[in-house]
Amino acid sequence: MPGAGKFKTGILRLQEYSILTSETLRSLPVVWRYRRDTLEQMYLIGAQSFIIVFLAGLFMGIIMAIEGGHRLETFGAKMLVGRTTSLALFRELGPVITGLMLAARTGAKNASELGSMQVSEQIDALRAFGTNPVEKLAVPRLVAALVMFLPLTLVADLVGLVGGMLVANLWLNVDMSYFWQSAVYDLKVKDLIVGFAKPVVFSFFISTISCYYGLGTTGGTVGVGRAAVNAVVVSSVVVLFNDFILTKVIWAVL
Amino acid sequence: MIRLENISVEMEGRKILENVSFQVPTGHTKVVLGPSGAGKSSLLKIILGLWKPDSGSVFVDNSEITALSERELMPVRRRMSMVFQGNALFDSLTVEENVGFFLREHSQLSEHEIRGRVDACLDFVNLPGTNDLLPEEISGGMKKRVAIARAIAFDPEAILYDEPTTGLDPINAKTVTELVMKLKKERGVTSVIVTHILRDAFAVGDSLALMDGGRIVFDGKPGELLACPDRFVQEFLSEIREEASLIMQT
Repeated sequence: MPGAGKFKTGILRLQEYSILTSETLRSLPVVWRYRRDTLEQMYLIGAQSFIIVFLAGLFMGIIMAIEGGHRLETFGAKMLVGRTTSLALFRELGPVITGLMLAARTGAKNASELGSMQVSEQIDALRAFGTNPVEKLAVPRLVAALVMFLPLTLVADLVGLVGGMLVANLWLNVDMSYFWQSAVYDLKVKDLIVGFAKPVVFSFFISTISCYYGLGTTGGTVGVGRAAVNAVVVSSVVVLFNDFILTKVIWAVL
Repeated sequence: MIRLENISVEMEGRKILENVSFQVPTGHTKVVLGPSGAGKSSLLKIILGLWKPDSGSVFVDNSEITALSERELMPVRRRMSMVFQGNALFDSLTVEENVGFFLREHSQLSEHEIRGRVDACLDFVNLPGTNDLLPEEISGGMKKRVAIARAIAFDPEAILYDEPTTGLDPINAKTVTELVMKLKKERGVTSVIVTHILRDAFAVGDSLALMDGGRIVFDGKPGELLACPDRFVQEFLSEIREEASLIMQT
């Protein structure tokens, strides 16, 4: 039965992913030894993703302000546009858009880099020379992602807020200082916890999933392409699924 | 000393290795011959612990390494080295970084000492001054020599070569063969060489093993191979018998 075969393969992959992830977590103490690799990955994730995250955040904020502002204006409540924009950005759009951008950028980068190393026997060479590929390749990528995703999300949030503020001022005649005050001062600790917990969880999954697909690549150049596509697709779905779970859990707990 | 006892490996229902046994005494060069797909390269991966056999045992200096975990294998691997068929140079690192990779990872040497050692290794393989080049900027023969320089940088006790001269032009192939002989003569390195090129086998091997379909069909001295009555051995030798005789005479 083909369905049973696919289910079995899925369970097997989940098991392999769990083994790799637990080995990566167990190896976290070696991060100091590979600090140069970690800093390099932080640069690649952080500095090189800055523009894409900046633009994504900016346009999200602008769109939120336009859409929200016009809807609110019909009820005579356009002055709430700052509050709604900041809530949407900090709680949902900032983390999710940044997560999806980084799932595409970092996920594809990790999977294709590690996949190319796998098919050209460079991973075997690492092992042959007594170096654990998980310690050398997966740990720096995980730590770099955990460190860099949060500030990048904050950039997307703040840039989106500034974009929304300018649009609200230009087209809805909402005073900029009022927009800013209602946007920032109405945010509650709970909103910030939701907004800052999500990037940490997303970064963990994006990094480990892309390393799993990269290190498990088979089938030459076609396999590298397949690994990159799988890493991006699975990471993106996992980001959205975790967004749902975290929103539900945090609403229930806090 | 490296010893394999009754190694068998099966993948996706296909037997890759079947009851393979041989040993390589310290300082000796063992050449594993055979046609493509005979399971030769798998043997090297088994010796290094990159693959686990379904049954059988691998011994390094009388210690069994077959059941060791990845972590437990690391110290064993640091005593051996391997030259991969496709070189497997780290393509984002320069020649200097490739050759010094092991020393930077696992030794306490200073950067100055590592650079000195890298220069010495590049001199040994006759590639001085190539330190700052990337693998993509050098020819196939040079890549093979960089791979050998990387393999000898930390003075391993044993080196495993996977088809070291395949795909090289005759001049580069000769250079690589001479390097292998030089390593044996000057450093007394134990070597296992996998190849299908008989000329190389006779040039460097203290003993030869011939494989077919995952099994060893001959294991002995180079001279004994020519006299072996086995049908497959004779078939394998038939096209190059004349060349083999000439090699034996010289």
